[in-house]
Amino acid sequence: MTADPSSPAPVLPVVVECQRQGGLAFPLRRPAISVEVAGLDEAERQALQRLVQAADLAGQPADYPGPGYPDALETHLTVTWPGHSTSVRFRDGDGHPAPLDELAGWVLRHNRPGQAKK
Amino acid sequence: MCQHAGCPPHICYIIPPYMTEHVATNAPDPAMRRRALRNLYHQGQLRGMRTAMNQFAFAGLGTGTKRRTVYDAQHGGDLPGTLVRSEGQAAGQDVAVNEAYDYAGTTYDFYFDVMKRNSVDDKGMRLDSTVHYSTDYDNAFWNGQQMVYGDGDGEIFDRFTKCLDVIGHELTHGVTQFTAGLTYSSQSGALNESFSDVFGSLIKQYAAGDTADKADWLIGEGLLIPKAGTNRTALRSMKAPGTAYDDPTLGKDPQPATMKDYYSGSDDNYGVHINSGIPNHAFYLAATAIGGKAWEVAGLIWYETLTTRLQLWSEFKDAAAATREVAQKHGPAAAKAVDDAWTAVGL
Repeated sequence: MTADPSSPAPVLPVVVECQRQGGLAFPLRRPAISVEVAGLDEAERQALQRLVQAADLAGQPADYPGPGYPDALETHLTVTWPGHSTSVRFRDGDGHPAPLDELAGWVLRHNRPGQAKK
Repeated sequence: MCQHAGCPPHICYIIPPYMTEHVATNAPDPAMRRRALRNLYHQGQLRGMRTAMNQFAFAGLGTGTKRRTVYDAQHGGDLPGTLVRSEGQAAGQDVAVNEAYDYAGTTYDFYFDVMKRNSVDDKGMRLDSTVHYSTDYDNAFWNGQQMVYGDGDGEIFDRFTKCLDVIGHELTHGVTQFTAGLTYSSQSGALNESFSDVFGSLIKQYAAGDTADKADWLIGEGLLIPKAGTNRTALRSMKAPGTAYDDPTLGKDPQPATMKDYYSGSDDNYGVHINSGIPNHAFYLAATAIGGKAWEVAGLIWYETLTTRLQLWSEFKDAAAATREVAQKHGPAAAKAVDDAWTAVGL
């Protein structure tokens, strides 16, 4: 199948940021990890774009309700496009869709020294 | 439509669960056992009776029979993952698998030998654990049915199966779920966390044979990877809440020891891991004042309180009143120690 030439190309995000907090060690502060799209190679940009589209942040509530499981980890994802940004906060076991975890995992892996980028 | 008892409308499972369970337990071929266990799990999920399955699956076994399984999520997010070790199988090369198995066993033994409790549900529930969950997953949690452990990120956190008290903490969330059911928010949530810390610490003390005055009263000691010039001792200190870590990256341990410093914000489900420092410290004070081995008197008082006196929305004052009352069964010295402990933390 080929893309509809009349459809505009999806706008790439500028920055994707992920912060994890909570869990067994809640109060402990964990650094936010961000990925600047300008610094990615083409394959990474495409991978990130696919994950961002699948995560559909615009279609998510800003905050998934409910405490999740005891000791659930909380993830705060922010995607910034030119001119606007969207954030979503979710926890293990609160019913959020899996693509949110996949996007968060990619961002965390990407900027972790010594880890393979996927 | 299927007329079998136990099959939901429109769905019939041809092979009854007890038969699949027998295959999962006794088949000589590991692949067959694995397939049967996965089928049991998925049937349980489909029927919405996963918890019930855990309870009946080994219901024919005598009281005090441990049943442990460990699964490997292989860095994915699907639970339970692939079965890698079940009860009675020898240790393998995977440290996380061995720790999850061994420490679940130590926790089971503690509850059975000391509290006369047969697993987390008191009905012999199988203890399922999944290791290698997700990637760079800095956490361990109880999902209402099983324990789940991440490997840590190798920079701040080591693997989450490393500490016996952490595994005892997670399994105690299961005990709370089947007893008081303390709602995981605000003071009831902080009590839920505190009972997990109390019994996590007691399980560690029991395994080491420590008396209250010799115990470290730390939760998760060694879980934080040391870094020069910082304090990364543990996640929490019951003896001295607020001193477990102090690090430019991680911040400073914010746990209060008394009601004077009670956290009233909305973070952390209204402070469940923060304000738990207050009842944690009360337990430490009571146990050290009573002396001897903390599980022998103070632990029994807290256990009876959790399992018979508290409920969904119990607050600190309810726990204080209940433990004061239960302590009277253990003599005037224990009663005074518990009373003084709660008074010292402002309750």
